[in-house]
Amino acid sequence: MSVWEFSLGVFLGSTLAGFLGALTGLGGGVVLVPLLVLVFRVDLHHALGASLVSVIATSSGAAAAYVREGYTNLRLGMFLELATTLGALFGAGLLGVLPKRLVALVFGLVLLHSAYLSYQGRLEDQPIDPKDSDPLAKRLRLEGGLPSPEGERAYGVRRLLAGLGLMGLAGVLSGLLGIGSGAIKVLAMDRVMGLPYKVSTTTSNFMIGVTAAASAGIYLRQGYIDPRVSFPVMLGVLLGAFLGARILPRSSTSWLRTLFALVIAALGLQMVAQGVGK
Amino acid sequence: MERWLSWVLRTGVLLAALLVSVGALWYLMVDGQREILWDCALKGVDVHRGLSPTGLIHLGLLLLILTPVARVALALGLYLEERDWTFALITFWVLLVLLGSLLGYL
Repeated sequence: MSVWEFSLGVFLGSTLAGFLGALTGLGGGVVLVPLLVLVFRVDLHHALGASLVSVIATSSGAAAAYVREGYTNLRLGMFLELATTLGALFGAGLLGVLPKRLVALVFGLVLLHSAYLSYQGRLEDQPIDPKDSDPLAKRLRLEGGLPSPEGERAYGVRRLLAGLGLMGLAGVLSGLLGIGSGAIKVLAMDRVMGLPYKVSTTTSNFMIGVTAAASAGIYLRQGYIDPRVSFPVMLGVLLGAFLGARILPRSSTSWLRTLFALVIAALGLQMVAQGVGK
Repeated sequence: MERWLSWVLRTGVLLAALLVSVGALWYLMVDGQREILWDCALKGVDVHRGLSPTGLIHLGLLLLILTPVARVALALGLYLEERDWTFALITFWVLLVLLGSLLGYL
């Protein structure tokens, strides 16, 4: 394969991954790594590095727009970053020690889990009640208001420490697998801390860039971020995510979600097979 | 605060994408026809530094990685200005972790 063919192929694949990731809200990172490893025969560590870079690009680009809309809970995000960054350092450190096959196996399992989550679909919003907020969350003034046509509706933050713990885990997986682990972050805020769904997704996105940047230092030092692999991935995913976000408001995504979930599950099985294979 | 953070993020990503694109075009013009070889020249991290096509891409990627760091530094400054000491401390700690991770490389 010549450099041209490789770059163009990876660019197109990344554009598609970014596009589908933005449309379905699952992020592009989860399909990128298997694509690079299984199709383009890129070394696992370099695939993770390229994915990590693209995660920083898309989350920062999207956050620039989301932050202005007023859904993102900045204070909560910055507080939870205490856990995600430490987790990410630990995860990225583990990556250098663990055998690649084990990492591939964990990656496959995470893929299967997010396929299951997206198959299950979005659950209904829990009723928001500012009264049963965590005392610590009250002290830190982490509660916020959800913009709505009838004005701001106040919401509380529940089980702050449990959420913080899950964010640590999300950070470890992010550092170990070069992904944003948005699924776990949303799960922690939406299900555990009882935040409105839209606040959970935008705040999760807001934290992803900082989480990934914490691992990036270690990735750079280990030489996992190869410019030759990273550039088509970064530019492709950015383009795809941009296109996806423009189409998103006027498209029905339920069949697309199902299709994407199937693709993710198939890739997950492949990665698990790589992990346990000879 | 929202406007400032948004501006830093957007500018960082756009500048990084620009640098990476220029470096990428240069790289493809120079090396495009060559067969791709993975194992050579990747042992040292220093290979991609300096004024070369991959060096330029690498610089763009560094700028991208520094974008969230700049966002945290800006938030720290804004919290200090608001005299919100708790959150100034929280963002300061996050900034330390980020710089600690990166300084090992830079």
